[in-house]
This record gives sequence, C-alpha cells and structure tokens, in this order.
Amino acid sequence: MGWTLDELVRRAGEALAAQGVRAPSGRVTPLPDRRLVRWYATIGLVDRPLAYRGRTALYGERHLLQVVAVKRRQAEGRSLAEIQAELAGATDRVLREVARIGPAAAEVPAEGDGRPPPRKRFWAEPPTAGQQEDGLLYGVALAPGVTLMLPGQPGPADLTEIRAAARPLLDLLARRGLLHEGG
Amino acid sequence: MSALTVTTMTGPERDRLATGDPDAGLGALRTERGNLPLELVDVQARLTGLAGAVRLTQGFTNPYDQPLEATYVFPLPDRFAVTGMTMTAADRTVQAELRERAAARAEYEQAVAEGKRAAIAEEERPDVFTMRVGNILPGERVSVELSLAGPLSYEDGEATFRFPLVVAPRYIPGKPLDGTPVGDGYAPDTDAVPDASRITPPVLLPGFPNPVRLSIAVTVDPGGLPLGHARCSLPIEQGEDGTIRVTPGQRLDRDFVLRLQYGEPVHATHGLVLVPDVDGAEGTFQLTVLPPTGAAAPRPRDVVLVLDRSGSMGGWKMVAARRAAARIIDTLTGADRFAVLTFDNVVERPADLPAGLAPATDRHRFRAVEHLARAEARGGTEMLRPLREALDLLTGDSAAVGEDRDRVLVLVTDGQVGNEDQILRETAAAVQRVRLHTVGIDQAVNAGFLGRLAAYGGGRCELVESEDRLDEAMDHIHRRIGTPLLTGLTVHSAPGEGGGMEGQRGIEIVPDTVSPARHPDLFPGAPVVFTGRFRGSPAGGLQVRGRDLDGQPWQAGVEATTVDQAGDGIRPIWARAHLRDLEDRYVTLGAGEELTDLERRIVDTSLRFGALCRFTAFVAVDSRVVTDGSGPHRVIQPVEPAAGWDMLRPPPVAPIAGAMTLAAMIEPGSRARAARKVFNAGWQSTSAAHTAMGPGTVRQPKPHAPQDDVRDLAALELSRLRSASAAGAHQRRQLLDDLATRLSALVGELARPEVAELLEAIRSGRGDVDELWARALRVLEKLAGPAAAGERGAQPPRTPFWKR
Repeated sequence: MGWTLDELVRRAGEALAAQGVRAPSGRVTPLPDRRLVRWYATIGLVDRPLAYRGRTALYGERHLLQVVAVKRRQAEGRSLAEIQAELAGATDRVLREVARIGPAAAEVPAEGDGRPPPRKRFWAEPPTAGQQEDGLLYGVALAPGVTLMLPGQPGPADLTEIRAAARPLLDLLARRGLLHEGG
Repeated sequence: MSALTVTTMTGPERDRLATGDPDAGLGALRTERGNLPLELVDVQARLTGLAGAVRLTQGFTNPYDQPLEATYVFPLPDRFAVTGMTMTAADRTVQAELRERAAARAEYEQAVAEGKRAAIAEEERPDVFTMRVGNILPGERVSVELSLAGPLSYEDGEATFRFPLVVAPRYIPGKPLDGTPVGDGYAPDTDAVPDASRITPPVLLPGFPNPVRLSIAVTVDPGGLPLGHARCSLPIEQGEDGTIRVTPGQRLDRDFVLRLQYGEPVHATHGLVLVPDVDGAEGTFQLTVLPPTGAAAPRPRDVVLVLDRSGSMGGWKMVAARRAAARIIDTLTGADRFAVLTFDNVVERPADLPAGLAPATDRHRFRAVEHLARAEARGGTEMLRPLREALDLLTGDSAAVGEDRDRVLVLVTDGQVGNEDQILRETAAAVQRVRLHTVGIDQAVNAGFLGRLAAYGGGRCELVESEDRLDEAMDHIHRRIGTPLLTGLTVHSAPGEGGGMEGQRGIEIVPDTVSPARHPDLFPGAPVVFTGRFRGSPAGGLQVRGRDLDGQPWQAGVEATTVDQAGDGIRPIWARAHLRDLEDRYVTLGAGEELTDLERRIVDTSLRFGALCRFTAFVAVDSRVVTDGSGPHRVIQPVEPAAGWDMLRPPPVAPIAGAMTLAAMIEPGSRARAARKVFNAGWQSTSAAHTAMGPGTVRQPKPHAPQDDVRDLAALELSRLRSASAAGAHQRRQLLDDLATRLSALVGELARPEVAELLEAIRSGRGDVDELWARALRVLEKLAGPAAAGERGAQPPRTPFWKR
C-alpha cells in the first residue's frame, strides 16, 4: 500500500543518518519531521500522498527521495527557494543523484496494490453537510476493561502498532493492580 | 483612443516590486527560472463598451529529459465564458473540442497513453480551472490558447476589467476521503471539499526566480463614448496605438484590474439588445435596467467589520462568516472607508492596510478579503476589545468630524460569550452613535445578546443557522448598508396593464432562461443587466417588474433598441451566466432523478452554446504519435504566493501550540453554554448568570433588574421611532423591519401576544405603514412603562412584561 507519514519520516531520518548528513547551522532542522513533510508538500518539494486510508496519508519511494534530497541540499547550505528552483518537479533520476540513496534504503512498498483508482465524476459529487465532527468514536480493546477511543478509524496495521505501543501502559496498569484480574 | 490616460495604482505593492531578492547571491543557482513547465502567460484583451474578448495563451516547455505531462491550476474571471481552445506544438495547431467532461477526460487519457500530444481544460470552480498538457517532448514548447468572452462590471460611471492571475490558497474544511486524490494539489480531498486536491496548487517561496514571462495587452474601443481616466493595478505602458501593456517582469501574484472612467453615462436609457441565432428561430437578448432618474447618490459610509474567529466558530460557521464578511466588503465603493478586525484572544487587522479607516479602494478591499480568507477558528472569544476598537474608529477623535457619513459597524459572530452584560454596559453609549448590525452564525446562536446589541445600535439582527440562509440574511444587511432603489426585479414577456407598452408586441422569452435567476435589486449607480433567450421575430419589447422604495409595484417596458446579427459576445455571456445559475441549482438540489435531468440539461446547454462549464471540458489531441506511451513524467506547476499573504512560514518546531489552542477552544464554549442556559431561562436570574460565567470574566458588571433592561430597550426603541415619525413611508417601513429582527431575537419565545402579533404584521410586509407605525408605538409604550410613555401622571404598578 505505502508508508505512513511516520514511516516515511523514519526512513528518511535513517537514510540521512547513515550518510552522516548534518545541518551546517542550527537554523535548519537536521532531521525531517511530520510537519516539515506536510509543509514541503504545500511548496511542491514533496508530491501529494499516493493515497489516503481513513485519515492516514500513504507515501512511496519518490517521496522518500524528495525528502532526503531536500535535506541534503539544506545541509549544503542552500536556501529553500534555491532548492525549490532546482528540485520542484525534478525527475526520479535527478532526485536519486541528489539524495544518493541506494535501492536498499528505499525497499519500495509494492506500488499500486490495493490502491483504488481516483474517484470518477468527482465534479458531480455533493459535499457533505460539512459539520465539524460526526461525534463518532472508534474503540480499540487493549485489554479486558481497557479501551482506547479514537476519532479516526484505525486500520489493521494501525491496530498492530497501537497494541505494541500500549504494552508499557498495560504493564503499568497491571503492576498497580488496576486491571481486572483473570480477564 | 488618444483621449485615454492611464496611471498605475500606487502603494506598497509597487515598492515591493522594486526590492530585490534577499536570498539571491549566496550559492544562487544558475537556473534563471527554475525547472518548471509553465514559461509564459499572455493575455490579449479587447474591450468594447462593457464587453470583453480575451485570448489567453499559456506556453509550456519541457526542461526534463523525458516526456512531460504539465498540470497548471489557474484562475479566470468568473463571469467570462471559455468558448474555444487550440493547442500548438511542432508546427501544428489542433482545434480543441468541447465534450462531456468524463468523455473528454477519457479521450485525453487515451491519447496520452498512446503517445500522442494532448491538452485538456477543465473547470473546477467558476474562477478556477485546470490545464493539463501531456507528452511534451524534452526541450519542446507547446502552447495552448483559450478564447474568452465576458462582461465588464459597471458602477458609478466606471467600467472594471478584472483578470485574476493566481489561485490563492483556500480554506479546506472536512475529513480526508479514502482513496487516491483526484488532483495533484497538496490538500487532501475531504467530505466537505471532494475535489480539494484540484484547487490547491503548491506555492512558490519568496526568492524563487520569476518563473513565468507575463504579458498583458489591452485595447479599448469605447464605442463612441468619450473616455476619461483609466487606472491599473499593475505598472503599465501605453503604446502609440493606445494599447495598454503591462511592464515586463511582473509576477503572477495578484489580479490585473483595469478601471475605465467613461466621460458620460454608458447607458442613457434602459436598453434591450436582440441577437438572433444564425440558424433557427431563437436568439439571445440583453436587457439593461437603469436606476430611476433623479435617484440620490448614497452618502459615503464608514464601515467597520468585526469578525469572530474564536475556537467556537470552527467548521461551517467560519466558512459562512468569512463569506458574509467578504460580501459586505464587496459592496463598498471608493467613496467609502472601512476597517476589518478579526478577533479571538487578540485583535488582528489586514496587513498592509493603513491604520484607522482605509479608503475602500480595489486594492484595500482585495487585501481585506485576503485577510479574511486566512482567518481560521482558534482561541477564546474576547469580544469587548475589538468592539471598543471598532467604535473608536467610527466615533473616536480620529474619526471624520463633521463629515456627513454613515457610520456602520457589522459584527459577525456566534455570540458565544458569557460576558454579555459587561460588553453591553461598556459599549452601549458609543453603540448608539453608530448603526450596528449583528450577524449571528450558529445553529444555537446567542440570540438574546445579539438582539440587544443590535437594539442599541439600531441595526438589524440577522440569525443564520445554516449556510443556506446566509445569502438571504446578507441581502438584508446589504440593503441596509447600501439602500437599493428597486428590489426583486423580474423580466416578463407579456406587457402588463399600464406598463408603458400598450399596443406593442411582447417578445417571447424561452421559459427558465433568464439570468440572473435570483431576482436582483437595483442600487444607485449600478445598472442591472439581464440576459436570456427569446424565440420568434426579433421585434417588440420586454417588461421589467419590481418594487420601489415604498414597496409599491414598479414596472417599465423596454423596446428593443438594437437588433444585432453580429452577436457582440452576448450569446456566450448569457450561456455562461445561465450555466452558473444551473450549476448553483445543481449544488442545492438533493440526489435523485431530478439531478440526472439537470446534469443532462447543463451538459446540453454547455455543448450547444459552446461555453465550458463544470460538467464539460475542452480536449485537443494531436494525431501524431511521439512517445512510446510509457507514461510521461508528471509535474504540477507551483504558483506564486498571492500578494499580501503570509502563509509561507515553516511550521513551529515544538508542537506546544496545539495543547494551548485546544484549551482555549474548550473553555469559552463551556462557559457560554452555561451562560446561555441561564439566559434562556429568563432574565430573573441575572446574578446567577454572572456566577455561572466563572472566573473568565474580567470585570463583573453590577447586576441589574432584568425588567429595567427591557424597559430601557423599549424606551430606546420608542424614542428612535418617535424621532423618525416624519420620515417617508419607505424609510419607516425599513425601520419597522429592522425593529422586528431585534424584537424577535430578544423576546421571540416570550408569550406576549401583542409583541408576537406586531412582529407578524411587520413581517407580512402588508398593511398600511401608518397603522403599523402607530401599533408599534403602542406596543413599545406598553413595554417601556409609563415613564417613557410620557405625560400621564398616574403610574400603574410595574408588572414584569413576560407575565400576563
């Protein structure tokens, strides 16, 4: 399907760390983070996500190349406007040269699988009422009696990661005797 | 032509153009214009009278080493029809065809997949379009030319040609939709904006070398009228032949606006132009309705707009509030002055507007609307300070002294504050020196507060519970800010009795073709222009009906003044206006068969009259196969940041702001809910309301008996009516209408039969004004109590007015 924003950021960070890329001054954040990637999208340095699953944006190899290439150029002391002039719209070949990532770091999630084609006749779709929230919450059972409520609907991959992340909390609750025994 | 002198509008934007690029120098790139596909935009406009014909050329190039598909999201004037398109590449020009949109898209995709050059132009919004050009070969240039026709707007002897050059960022509410985005922009498609990714092109950073060569040339044919002065928003030069040209080197970051002053009125009388079709028995008409002669020019106005952007205004409310505010600003003219304040915890004003009241010039209004477009809900509702600032602007020392100006304050809010009494107490005196209108936007608006505020300000209190109601409410406010001379104009085939057309033939109108479909009002200085379709012989007349200042029926017969086979652009102008009416209807209609029929009608109209709309697209395919069809490199053209915007800041590193914002959003809402509950329960428990407000209130006003408050208000309304007793019937009817909006906000649910009956009588719009007036006085006298009622000595004991 593609990487989540967190996965994309992590991979970009790893690639840059492996190359020993450091910022020339404190002005530039050495490692990409989520907000930065979103901002890069508004200025055309990173393409829009491949697709959305629920509220989760999914990214691919080209996005990784773009993030790493921008960071490398910044580490060389280029301003973002200069980087935009060079890299906005750049081909994959140019991005690969600048990013200097081998295929190993970019083990691409198989592109296209499970990704639906764009909606047809979007121009005739009525927008929904546009209320702020429907008030609906999604519950994830972490342990008997312990439920996590979320505003967005998590997918199977999210569930795995949420459960893993919840482990320390559940341990703490168990240690303090706050869980129902025998559940 | 030589009579025309042109000047450039001066101001900060001009200065900005001269300043260099601060980032240039240090390691600057060799590329002079970046590596982007769009290299030129050329606008050739011919203005004839009040019509414009434009040829727009977009030049694309491929700076990459593989075949390219370039996407460019661009604006066009929303009332102009796109009537033709050509694509030129490698010495061949291909005429585009207008097709149903899905069919056009399929044809384009297939051509690109087959390795052919192709181009497609689609409409996303009335003023936002997308051009895609596929299979541009490396190093090659492809240009696309669009033909447009449209009307110039005309007001107070000045015609305006506005050609936008950049799609500014838009606020995208809603939750992301599953699946692949339908466009290449940065915003996700959402349930509220299903095509958001098609209207949000990435934005260039300041310091980016100018990527696009812009040229604009305008020729003006005044059609026999003397031309006065012309003004332009961009630096221009005038050629020997009179052609106006924009100085080279300008960026596509603002609207091109050309204002032409005509030496004498463009229309001396109502006008009816008939343009028979070349074949068939139908034709297009254009009917211009002038304000009645002798109509007084409106007084200049000082308007301060105060917009609530607090956290409780999130979602549709903010969208509606921005639209409402922008509409008010649009009604201002150069003689008026205005200011815009947006507030939550802090008060903000549009950057680049002068401090104090700014003249309502094009540029200032544009800046203000930009400022509004950026306003997003956040923070608490600190309403007192912005109101004080607004009142100070209108009545303070710096306000124009002795000048004969209308002073107007418009407050747009959900009124979700708990310190109503404090606000009223602190501002009531100053509010009575201005006209204050309140626009309450919410499904559960704090109506009592807004009603009381409007009562002190003698304005209207409009409550808008859904976006559907917004237009109607804004019409009311609009009519109070700028008084129309005629309202609810309609066009009819058959001459009625006494319509000045006795013995003449009426022209037969093709049913449901008259645009604007919403019955417009006629304001001083601005004629109303109808277009529509007729059938039969092009001779005879039409009739216009409406209501005059006193609410009396008004009508006028208009004979055909011109029968013009040449067309003069009226046909496409009508087609565009009519398609927009139909598209508006499509948006408001529910699902079902009706919708399918309407869509078919829109497509048929668009294709028959050759005008692009949202359901059709222009597609051009060059039959030569030039690539192996392996899929071109796809690039979306980033656009200039709209002048005056401030969005291009990197995000803050630490995400602390989120927590604070959340807290700020929750707090005032819960406070307001508590206060509202008490408020609605009746005013007996005023002191309890103060307690319920909690610690957020800065200063506690002295609790006062609620019946005194109502008595005071009634006395105020009474004195207002009494002082206007000598006014004309029309003005008194307006005063009663406004009074009704305030009373219903105040005592809507309270069982006081004579108030309810009075409201109903006023709202019905019928009945004798004198009688209504007297009745209103009687009701208010009763509410105000004997002291205000005057002379009589014996005072009956007070009874709370909500009890019978």
